[in-house]
Amino acid sequence: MTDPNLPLRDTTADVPADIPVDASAGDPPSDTPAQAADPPEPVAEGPAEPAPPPPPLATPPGPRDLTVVATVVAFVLACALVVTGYVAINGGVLRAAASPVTYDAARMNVPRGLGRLEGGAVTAQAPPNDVLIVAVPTDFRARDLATIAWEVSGLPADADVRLLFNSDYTPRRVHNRPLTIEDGKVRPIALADDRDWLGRITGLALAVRSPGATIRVRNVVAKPLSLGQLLGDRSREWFQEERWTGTSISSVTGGASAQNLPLPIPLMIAAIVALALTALLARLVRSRFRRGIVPIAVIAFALAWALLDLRWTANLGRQVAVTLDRYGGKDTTERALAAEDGELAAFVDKAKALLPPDPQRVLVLAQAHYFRGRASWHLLPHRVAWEPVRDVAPEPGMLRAGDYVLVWRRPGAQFDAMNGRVRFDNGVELPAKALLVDRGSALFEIR
Amino acid sequence: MTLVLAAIALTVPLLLGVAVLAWCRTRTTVDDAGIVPWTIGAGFVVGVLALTTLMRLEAVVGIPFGWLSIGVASLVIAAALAWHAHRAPSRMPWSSAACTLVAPPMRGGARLAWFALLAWIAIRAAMLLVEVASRPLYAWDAWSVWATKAKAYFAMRTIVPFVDLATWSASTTPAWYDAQPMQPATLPLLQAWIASAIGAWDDASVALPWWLFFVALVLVVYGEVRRRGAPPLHALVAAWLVATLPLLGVQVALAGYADLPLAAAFALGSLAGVRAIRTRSPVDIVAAVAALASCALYKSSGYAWIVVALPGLAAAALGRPWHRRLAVLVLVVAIAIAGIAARFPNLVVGRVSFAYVPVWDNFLTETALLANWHLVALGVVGTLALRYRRIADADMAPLTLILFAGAVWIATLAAFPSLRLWGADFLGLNRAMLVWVPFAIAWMAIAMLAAPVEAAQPAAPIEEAAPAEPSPEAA
Repeated sequence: MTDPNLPLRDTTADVPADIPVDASAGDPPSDTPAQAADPPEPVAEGPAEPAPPPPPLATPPGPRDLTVVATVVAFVLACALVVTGYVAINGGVLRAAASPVTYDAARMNVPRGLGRLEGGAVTAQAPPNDVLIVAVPTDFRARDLATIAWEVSGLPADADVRLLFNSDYTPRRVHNRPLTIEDGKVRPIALADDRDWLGRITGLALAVRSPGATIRVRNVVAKPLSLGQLLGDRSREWFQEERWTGTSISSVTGGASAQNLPLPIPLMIAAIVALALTALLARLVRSRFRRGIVPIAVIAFALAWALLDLRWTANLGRQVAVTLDRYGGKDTTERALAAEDGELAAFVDKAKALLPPDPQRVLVLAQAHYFRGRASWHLLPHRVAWEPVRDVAPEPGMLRAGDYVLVWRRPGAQFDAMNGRVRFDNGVELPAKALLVDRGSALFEIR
Repeated sequence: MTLVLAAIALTVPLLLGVAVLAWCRTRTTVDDAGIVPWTIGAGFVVGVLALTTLMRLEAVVGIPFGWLSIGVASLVIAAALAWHAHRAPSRMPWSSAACTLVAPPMRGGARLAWFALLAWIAIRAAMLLVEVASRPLYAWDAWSVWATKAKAYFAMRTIVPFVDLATWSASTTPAWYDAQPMQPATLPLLQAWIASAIGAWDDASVALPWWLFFVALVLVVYGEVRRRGAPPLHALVAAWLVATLPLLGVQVALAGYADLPLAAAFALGSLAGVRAIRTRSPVDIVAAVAALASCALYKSSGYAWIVVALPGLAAAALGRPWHRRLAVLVLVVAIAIAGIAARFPNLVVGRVSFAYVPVWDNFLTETALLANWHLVALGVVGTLALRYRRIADADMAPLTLILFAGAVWIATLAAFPSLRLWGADFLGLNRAMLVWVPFAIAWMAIAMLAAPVEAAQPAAPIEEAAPAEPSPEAA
């Protein structure tokens, strides 16, 4: 058996090997060696190279191979099928019967709890022993607008949050449905199949049981469950800007921190469906699919991968623009000052100017371990120590004469200027000289 | 000016490593296809080890770090090796590699795909370069574990001791402290070299080697797949898959962690190691040994990845009859780990906790649902499903064993999270995956190739072989 996808045979085979994979999926090894150690035949089309031998004329060319075209078409079709399936699973329709309705904060009231309108949002605090309720009168047909999305922030992860609604169909009853919290926000709720979501909805409310919690409610939107609406919502989640954070080095979310449907899922399904469709077609029209199933799988996989990567490329591009805006054209010192801890860097610069040039022993104290670590980083190459886990004062005997202590906005270190002594919150007291004092931060030299 | 000096400094380990491998290649005739990109990629890993070894020696002897002691010395060695390689009959086919790059041996849609993928990779590399060259060290360990040492080495112009907090407190001789003083000095030395070449500490420039590790990894995957007989486009698809891995890109953009260099070293060491056992070619042996040694020299837990590579290397060395036995052995290890988890859920041996607190949900979410790895999970499962016979072929089985052993190691870390605190430098699961995934992509790409019928013969010494003409098919 001759494998048309063997290396470097693409110019001599009767089938262009543009997807150069083994066609013999699961077959016994090919009888044509695809050697690794044997140098292949030179077939490059470089200008200085001899022309490759012409294709054998004895074998007439067969019908055009459709592997690539059919797989691409199948992938597009599969994407459409996945979208349709998603809309169907969510009880949606292809076309919306009504437009979304937004009820902004100005129309809301707070029947329970303390609330005020500021900056286009209701800031409301839950009472200590009761439920916070933020309500808004509405008037829309339940059947037309079956998805309710509250734009609210500041919800504690353990809060019990519910959607309250009443309708003209059951005017004396207030229905409540639990809402899911993710990352301090509530997830939209779809009520198309809800037995009480009937008639005209005359009021919506958000009930929060979380004593003392303060939340901000910007608006509530009643949306239709249409194809466009669902795709729009998902697209906004997928393409939400994801900037670098402290956790980026270990994990990339891929858009919004909370997503109804992460993008890899539909694309994974689309790739599998495309493979199934094309493989079925290949079985029916074998003469047009001479390369077997593996190239089909590779193409479907690569298409899905490419779509995923386009999203990631767009996000990366936005991040690069942000980085350039912040650091572009700056030198080392300016970049340090423009960074998240620029204030600390400026203070450490002043402290370093007061230290001898040779590396000195310096102990760093700060409440947050981020600032302890960053202060140490800026102080290098001095011999800096800092406690990476806990915020603790120096143990007795840790410091000695000639050492330095840098304190960054940490209560608990008291300096007695009269007697020239520094006292830490664990009772350790040492003779010292204050070299620099600046708004809760200081540099001491131990005497 | 700083960036220019940093770029020049970066080329020193690259030139040194490429010269070493080019010289090694003169000792035997080896395949031409893919050898140039592979040599450039592998050369950087080899060059980093060579350069930092030189710096270690200078620190021992007492020669202070600087352009003359490091840069000039390295360039002299590189020039001598390159001159020798240039005079050898079997030269590196540089020009034909460039020719294939711009005029690939393919037509129509394949040619279009070739240039599209090249552009895609180039754009990604350019974006990451802008990011890494602009942003000061940002990620936590970058400035609390790794560059801390580099900053001290640069300032003191030699290697200085880093100790734990208790030792620092009691120390009467100069000693430095950071969050993980036990980590090896290789990567900090590389950063110290960049700073020494620039003549000042620059937070952004010292991160540039991470970008080059990224490029090296992409080139190694391309070159390795190509050297195993794949056509150029096939190899380029594999390189594109690696280059577009989101978390790999993040590790470049937020440079400074050891995981990306470790991934490059592991991929090169495993792939070249299996090949070296078969071909006995010095170029492969040197690359494999340097890369596997680098695994342990980049990061203290890197030794685990050498252990992961061992079953595959043993399979390559012992031959086909042993493949199944070694597979069973790895399976037994996996079952034994599961057995320990079931029988002793709170086992503690000394400081090592085997507390069984699995994070499978989190692991699956990070691997398959989030954007970390695009569709690698689907790719691995699909390859197993479609190529289940191929992956057990003589040439593939060692790689499959390495893949399997790596999966067992990652699963162990997921099942016993406390192990990460002890033996894996507080390693996040995704950062363990980062080491495994580029290798897995190379494995997928190689598995899609047809199986070679004959085992390759060991390469003949150059003296016994006819002078080889440079192949035009060498990209």
